[in-house]
Amino acid sequence: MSSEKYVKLPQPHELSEREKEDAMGAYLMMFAALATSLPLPIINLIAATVYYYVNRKKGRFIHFHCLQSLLSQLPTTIVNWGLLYWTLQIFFFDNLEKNDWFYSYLGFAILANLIYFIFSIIAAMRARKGIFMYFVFFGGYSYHRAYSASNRLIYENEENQNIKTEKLNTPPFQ
Amino acid sequence: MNKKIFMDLLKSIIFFGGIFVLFYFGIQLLSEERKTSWFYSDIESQLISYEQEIQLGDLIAEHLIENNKQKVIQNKFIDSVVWAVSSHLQKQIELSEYDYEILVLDSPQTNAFTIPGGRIYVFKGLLEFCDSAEQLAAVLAHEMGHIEKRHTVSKLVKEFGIKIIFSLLGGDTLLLGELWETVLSSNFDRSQEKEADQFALKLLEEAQISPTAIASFFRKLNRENLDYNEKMELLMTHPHNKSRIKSSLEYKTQEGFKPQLINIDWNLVKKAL
Repeated sequence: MSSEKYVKLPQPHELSEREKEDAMGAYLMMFAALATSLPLPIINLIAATVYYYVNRKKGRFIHFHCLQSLLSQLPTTIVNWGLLYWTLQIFFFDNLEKNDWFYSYLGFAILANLIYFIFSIIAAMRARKGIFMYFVFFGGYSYHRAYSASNRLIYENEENQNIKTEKLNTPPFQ
Repeated sequence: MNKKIFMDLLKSIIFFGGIFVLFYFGIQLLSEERKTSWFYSDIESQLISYEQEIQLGDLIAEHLIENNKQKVIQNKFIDSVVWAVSSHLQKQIELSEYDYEILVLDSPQTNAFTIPGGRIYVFKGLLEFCDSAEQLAAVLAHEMGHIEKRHTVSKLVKEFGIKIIFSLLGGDTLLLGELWETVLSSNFDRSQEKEADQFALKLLEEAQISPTAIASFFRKLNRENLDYNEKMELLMTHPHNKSRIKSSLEYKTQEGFKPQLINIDWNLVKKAL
């Protein structure tokens, strides 16, 4: 077990509606971006990166979901790029040919996208309810980044807690 | 960071890698017939029956003669040579749907092409270019591959769409000119060329002709191409010649295979042209 300390996880009732909606948006926004960027699977990545940097300071819960959404789409994006390259080489440039490896890869890519879609939808629904859902590897890593005690990021919803309570105003006499 | 996270990563890589391998072996387990019908067949060619294909071929051939687009050489000696070589190959094709007809066109191009229904047109330039009957057999075997695998009809359906093909068959001959241009100008895709090559290698072996005839033909084409740009025409429409030479030389014939020469004096053929 790791000796690293983590901040206490919030329970659903402790999260604001805004936080829950922004967390859900990390997954849903990516779907829209993915649809518009077909057949070039790069816009979704750019959109997710922008969303991540814009929203990550709003709160740890949002930071966690944005990061998980961004990271979890990396493998499928790479797989989709591979498929796009292979398909173009076959049908447009005539450099490669359809073979068993291609069809295996096609089947694999379809399955990977399907798994990714299903898990993202479930994660979005759970985020809306203020519940965590950890994807394999990405969930653990995102949790570590957002909830580690060593995380130096200042969150908007925690700002007041971090202000040093210096006694600047004192009465004129005791 | 927790080691569990990296173990998760390792597990998911193994999981997805395993899925990919499973897909590959799953496809390997499929029978060749299923694989062909599911993944590798040209769907376009299945939309047209053999009868319709032959009818379409007749229309194109008629157009060729009527509009005098190409002049067919009328030379009994040349016809008999081409017939002898092609019939040598045809005997080895079991259950063919086609009655092959090979015609020689009076043009200096180093090329040959097929139209639907089993007609192969060979340009005079190709006969002059060949050094032996075996080389002509190699070219014809390749073209027969395109016919037997129905690449020709598939190409036309892809280019024009099934509706136009059916309207042509129904008597609307307005687009025949364009159809003819397509037959002449557009290419088969690389996988079709490879399929026709594989068919040709097997057919040559079965006809007791050395499959290396393909290599010798393309070697000559490569050599000549260095000096004559007009030879590019055949090069441009086919895959890399080097890989074709390689596959022809590497083709493994069955044990005991003894190639036999076709008894035709090619110098006489060249003189007669």
